[in-house]
Amino acid sequence: MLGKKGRAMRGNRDRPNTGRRMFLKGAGLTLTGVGLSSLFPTPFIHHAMAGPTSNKRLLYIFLRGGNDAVNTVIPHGDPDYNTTNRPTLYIAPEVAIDLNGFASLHPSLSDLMDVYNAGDLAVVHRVGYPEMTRSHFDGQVIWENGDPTNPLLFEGWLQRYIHEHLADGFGRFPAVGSPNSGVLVTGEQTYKIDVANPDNFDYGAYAGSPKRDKYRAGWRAQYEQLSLNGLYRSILSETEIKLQDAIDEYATWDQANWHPQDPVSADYLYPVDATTDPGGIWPDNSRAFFKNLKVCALSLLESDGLSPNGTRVAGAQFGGFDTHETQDESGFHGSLLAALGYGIRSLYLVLSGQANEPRGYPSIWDDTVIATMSEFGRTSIENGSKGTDHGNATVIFAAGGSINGGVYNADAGSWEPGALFGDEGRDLSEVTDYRAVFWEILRDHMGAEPLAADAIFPGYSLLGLTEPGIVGV
Amino acid sequence: MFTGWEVCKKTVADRDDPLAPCIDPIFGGEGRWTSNFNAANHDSGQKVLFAGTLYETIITDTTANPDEGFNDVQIALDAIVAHPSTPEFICWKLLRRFITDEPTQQMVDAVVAEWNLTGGDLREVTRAVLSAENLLDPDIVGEKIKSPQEHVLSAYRAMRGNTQIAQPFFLAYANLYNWMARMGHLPYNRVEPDGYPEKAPPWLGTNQFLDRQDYGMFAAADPFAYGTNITQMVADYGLDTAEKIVDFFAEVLLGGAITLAERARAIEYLNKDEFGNETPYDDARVRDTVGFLLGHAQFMER
Repeated sequence: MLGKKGRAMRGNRDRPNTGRRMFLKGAGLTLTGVGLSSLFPTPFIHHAMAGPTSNKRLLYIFLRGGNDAVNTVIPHGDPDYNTTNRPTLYIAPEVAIDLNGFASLHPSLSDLMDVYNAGDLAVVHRVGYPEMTRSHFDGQVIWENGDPTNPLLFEGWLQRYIHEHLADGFGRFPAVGSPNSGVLVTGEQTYKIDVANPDNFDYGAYAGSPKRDKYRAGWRAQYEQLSLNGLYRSILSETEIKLQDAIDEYATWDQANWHPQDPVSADYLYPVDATTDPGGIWPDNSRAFFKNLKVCALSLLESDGLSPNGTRVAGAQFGGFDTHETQDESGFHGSLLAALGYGIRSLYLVLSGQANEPRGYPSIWDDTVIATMSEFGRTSIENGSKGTDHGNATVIFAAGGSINGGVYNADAGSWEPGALFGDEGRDLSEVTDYRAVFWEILRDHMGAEPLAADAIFPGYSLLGLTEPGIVGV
Repeated sequence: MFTGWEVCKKTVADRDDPLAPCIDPIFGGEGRWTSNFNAANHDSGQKVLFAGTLYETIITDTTANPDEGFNDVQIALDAIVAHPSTPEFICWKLLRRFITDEPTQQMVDAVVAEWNLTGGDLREVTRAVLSAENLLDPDIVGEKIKSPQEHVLSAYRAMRGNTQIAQPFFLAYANLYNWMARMGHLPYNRVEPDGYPEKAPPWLGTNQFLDRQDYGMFAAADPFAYGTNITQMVADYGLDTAEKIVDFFAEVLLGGAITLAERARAIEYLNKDEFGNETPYDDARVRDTVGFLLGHAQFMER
């Protein structure tokens, strides 16, 4: 029975060139499925056909709201960083953590020093792209879709990376996001699993009853046979099927009963409740962030190349960085940074096999890169509300066994006078393009085929960008 | 420009004056929640809009007269309204809100024409957006995915949901609130100031599916906790066979867009128990079948 929503009459309508099709045309190389690979005997395709050779992982943390890079990695060597420009937000060198005699970490980031001292943390300052937008919405999409010319493109560069390298041993769940993967792993195909509520990633209705199997099987059949004649039908269909597969796989990870501890202090590395955070040190938003990171860590630890989930990309979101008002009162920005620092250190201990945990996961630290991002930095001058407004360049932390640790773009040699106001006399100017950072990670760490650069970051080979050199080759 | 604006309670007489003093929200007597301009929190420096273009607008420094900073917003809005890109932008936004995530240039042009004809009369512009051509074109139906809030509330209405008949009465409200919170879509609660996404992809993760389907099954199956009333609908419409029940709810919930295979599956769902045995259906299984239909893709489409 076809009613008013029937699709039989549907015609082809021209749409704006905002979708994937535009890339396909430009790149001329993109696989639509592994089966087509033999039609394109290029080096890139040979690579794609080579089979499961890579077990590299990427874990990204998106700091939503625009992180104040200037107070995160403080350019104490620049005399413009002073109490005139930042009357209440200024952090003195004595309380900050010196990195290289020029730049210092916010005192709340002290947990990062274990990773930094191990030589596994790259601090890349002044990252952005030409004519950065000050809109949260556009800025976040641009960082995620990899194309500053098109903030309307809801297709992520990681989505395209996965798509281009599907034959390289990816399993059923190439990407896991908690609470979600954002636009980074969004596109016409469903490669991601989003775990919004780590404690509750399962159907709850009639839990434990055969009635649950009944509706699950019914929905699976409906979505497997779904007519794809509609704008979002293929996404709807793929998402449901992935969801049902993922629920079963996720249950085997049993995250609720996994509590890795610091090998020295015995502190819980994921303080998510009264048991694991007995002193009540961490606020609710930090606890939620840790729980999301725990899911991300498990998804990568459970993917050992033989695992059917084959997760290579994990992503967490952390919000609240839009610090327009009272940025440092009650340690507002500091609290967020403290959670970020502790979270990265916990990942370091857990992924490198140093944590005290009963399952004995082997180290995957050398196979993993953790990278942060944020849509923009903030104004170099404090505003009237004891906060900072939307600015320009921001900072990226990248950690992992293959990372060349150190400070990039924030030393006396690279930080020119006036840099703090180098963008429109207002904000920190950018030196390194975010696409150069992430393409370097994809190519040199994740094993992306060099010829895929333009398919992943549109027009990349013509941009002439300088990569920072953070990944050891 | 917008710094310094906040919400507070003022006396009824002062409600339209952004510079009037706030009153205590509890002990301050009768009043209204309204906007307030707090000059101490305003960035009073000079700002330049559309810098370097024909439409450059300078908002002057108000440091010497802090209260004048509240004019910044008016100046900015006037400049934005006067910018030639504004009609197309607004028309495109309205089309994307009501009709499709991907409006064509042709659709936008038609609405912009109405804007130009009426000098930007938003009532007439909206009428053009909601034209029969846009609303009834079979190519365009289903090009919007319901937001979580729309999903929760449309399912609730379709099941004759009434928070007042839930037991206890506040339970349904709490349940609906919790589902919207889980799906990340509580009204006016977006953490970042960019607003909730208008396009579908951010709302189409695996977890969204899980919550949407789970919610439908819970709300249909538990009339007491949710205040839904499917049983009464079955009685009111004389739905005395499995076929009539499925056809009725397929029309109500899915706009009738159900394939023969989907219809057969739903009828079987109603006629068989959870062990696959054909047994006479009862009220509970009717409710479960409605929950099952709510998990279909067609219900996620608007």
